[in-house]
Amino acid sequence: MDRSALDEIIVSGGYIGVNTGQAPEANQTLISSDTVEGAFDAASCIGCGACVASCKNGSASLFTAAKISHLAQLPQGKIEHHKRTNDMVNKMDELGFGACSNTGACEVECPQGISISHIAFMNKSFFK
Amino acid sequence: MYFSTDSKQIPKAKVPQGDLRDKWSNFKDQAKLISPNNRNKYHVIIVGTGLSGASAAASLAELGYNVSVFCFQDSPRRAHSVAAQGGVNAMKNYKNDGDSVHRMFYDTLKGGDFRAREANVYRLAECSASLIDQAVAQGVPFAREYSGYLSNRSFGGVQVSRTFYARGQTGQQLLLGAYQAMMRQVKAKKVTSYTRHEMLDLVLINGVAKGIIARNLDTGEITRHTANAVVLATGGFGKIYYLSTLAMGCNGSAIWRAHKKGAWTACPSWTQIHPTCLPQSGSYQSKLTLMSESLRNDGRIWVPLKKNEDRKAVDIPEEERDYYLERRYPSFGNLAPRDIASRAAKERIDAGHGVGSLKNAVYLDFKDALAKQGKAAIAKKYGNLFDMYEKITGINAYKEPMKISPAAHFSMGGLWVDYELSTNIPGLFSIGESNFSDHGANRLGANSLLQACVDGYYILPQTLPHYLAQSGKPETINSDDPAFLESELQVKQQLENFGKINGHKTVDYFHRELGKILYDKCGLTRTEKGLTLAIEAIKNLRDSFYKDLKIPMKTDGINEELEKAGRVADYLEIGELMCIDALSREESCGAHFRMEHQTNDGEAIRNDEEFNFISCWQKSDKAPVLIKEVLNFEFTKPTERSYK
Repeated sequence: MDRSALDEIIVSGGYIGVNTGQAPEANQTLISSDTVEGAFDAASCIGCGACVASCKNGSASLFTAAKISHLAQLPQGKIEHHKRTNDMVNKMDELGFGACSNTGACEVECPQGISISHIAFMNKSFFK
Repeated sequence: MYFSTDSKQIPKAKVPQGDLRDKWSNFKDQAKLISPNNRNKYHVIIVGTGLSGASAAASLAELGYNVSVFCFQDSPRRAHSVAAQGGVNAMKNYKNDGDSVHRMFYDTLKGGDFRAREANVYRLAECSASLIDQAVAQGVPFAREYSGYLSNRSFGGVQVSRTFYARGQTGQQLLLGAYQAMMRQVKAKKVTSYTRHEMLDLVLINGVAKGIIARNLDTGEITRHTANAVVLATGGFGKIYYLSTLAMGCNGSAIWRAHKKGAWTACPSWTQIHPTCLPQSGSYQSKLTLMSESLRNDGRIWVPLKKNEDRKAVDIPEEERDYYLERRYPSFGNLAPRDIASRAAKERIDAGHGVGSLKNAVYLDFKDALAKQGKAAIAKKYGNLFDMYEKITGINAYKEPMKISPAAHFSMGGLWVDYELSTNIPGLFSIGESNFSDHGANRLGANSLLQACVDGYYILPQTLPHYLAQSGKPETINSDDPAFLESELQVKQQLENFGKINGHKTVDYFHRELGKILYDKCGLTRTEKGLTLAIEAIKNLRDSFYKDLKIPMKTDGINEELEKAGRVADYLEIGELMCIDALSREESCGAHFRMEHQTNDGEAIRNDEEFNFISCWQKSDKAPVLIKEVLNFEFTKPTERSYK
């Protein structure tokens, strides 16, 4: 299965810009358990592409939104959030993935149970 | 004789001078550097994009080197590190329970039964704390307390809580962190990623590693790739047992092809058989799903006292249950190290107390933990593991105990490396599970994620530039060099020859047969007689492989059978060396348990006088040659490894 387009979406900005060796002490920024668990729900995406395959528009919105939401929920990922969202959504469009029309098929098929609400969050951030 | 010994060659471990706690700093202080504006003149190949490969690629690229990464998966994020569940160890002492770098070092060294280099193990513990910082900065969602502080749990073989975890998907989350860091460097054009590419040979020019030959698994195209240094981060070869916790694609071919070019393989027979896996349920199964060791924090392991018990677990009263780990190892109990827990399970199963339809399992029971902590607390810690268990077996582990069984899991053995993670071939490095280094004869739980990350993020980015700086001006390597052409030709011929055999049996048949031999004779327990028989059996199986293999002929385009043929051909050679390695070591240590060397109550007897060394195997046209790296224990005194 060719999943390289999903890799390209990550390349466009699906990360936190930190080099090895720069990190501060891990407990310096406290993050509430609920926040981490919320981020984890999005982070548990395995990149299988079932969301794209099940979507009548061929949209990679659930995949992209899961990464955006994972990183945006954590304090260390907030700083780059808007640039990340713009870059990733634009990349998704550029690669020819369709738009989301809220059919919800992706959420049904997702083996990791990732919620479609992440897409709403992504769109809200993108249009801000 | 199945092997010969060369006592003249003494491996250079290159351990820096100084006190244990100063060695790594001393190395870094004295390491040769390359100035930032010269770094882009060097090119590094990394094979494998799991935790060690991806973290090394990201870190070297951040420094300014050009990196090419290769993986056979269709995305770097699908490397097998993704499957690791339980956690990653780190010395933070957040729990105030007496943890220290020295304690972690000693736990790991003792866990490995004093068959690892002190300095390497110390460095692993020393670098562990910064890994957690790094991972958190990348966005890895480690579990937190309600107060916002990071949470810990315990793993086998230790008496402190130093394991960090992200539900039961710690490997996946750490790998995503490393993968994302690497993809950031793809964007910066410092990393080029080759997916669906399998390395088929290492190329040496004048004895120095200068590149690889790879095959595109989609098109079948064979390509030559040059570099100033080659890093193998290709993971373990536990899949050699066929039935294992590893994915079908995991293989030992990259390190074995390097071995055939002269790299030493160290202690290949030291394989970790993980105690908590789902038992085999039929003969066509290839994967034994792992259930995280973390379950042993709250689950209690037992078998019925009565042989051939046919009552259901819940109907067996407390006084007719044998909590054998708690009985035999009261101070560590259910958290005894993996080798010990697996052997104890095998002992009970062999004695007729096994449970399940094939009588090949033991119970892992959460009854007491559920009663004490409540279902919600247990679900928060292990929810996804319980769900996974129910998905596969149909059993609700909140209501009745899980059935678990030992399965091949991790290769402690691998390519021999010195303190700088360099093999004996200049320019060839090996990191993560593919090397033999920090775990000795048995790896402690949650140390593999740690070792892979520490090798990739912290050690290789210091030691590889040190090598490049010493190797003179950056040279451009010509991929038309005769060494590359010859290598390419050999690879092509081997692939074509597999198709020409045109026999009657599939690759999987040979793989399964090999697995059976190894499980039986070179698995949890070994004997001289069994190993001798196994060596002969593997030789016969190999002969039959080259006479009776049948695979589709085509070498272009997708041909999974052809890929597997190459891997199994290598397994048939690795398996023989594993048996020779186990035969040559007449002692019991860690996962290597020779039945001839045990106490009356079934504990391992180590022989420090004769076997206090790492076995480095050199390829030879005749029998393999054993070279010994004697271990010097300057700062600790090897003791009997007791968990009682």
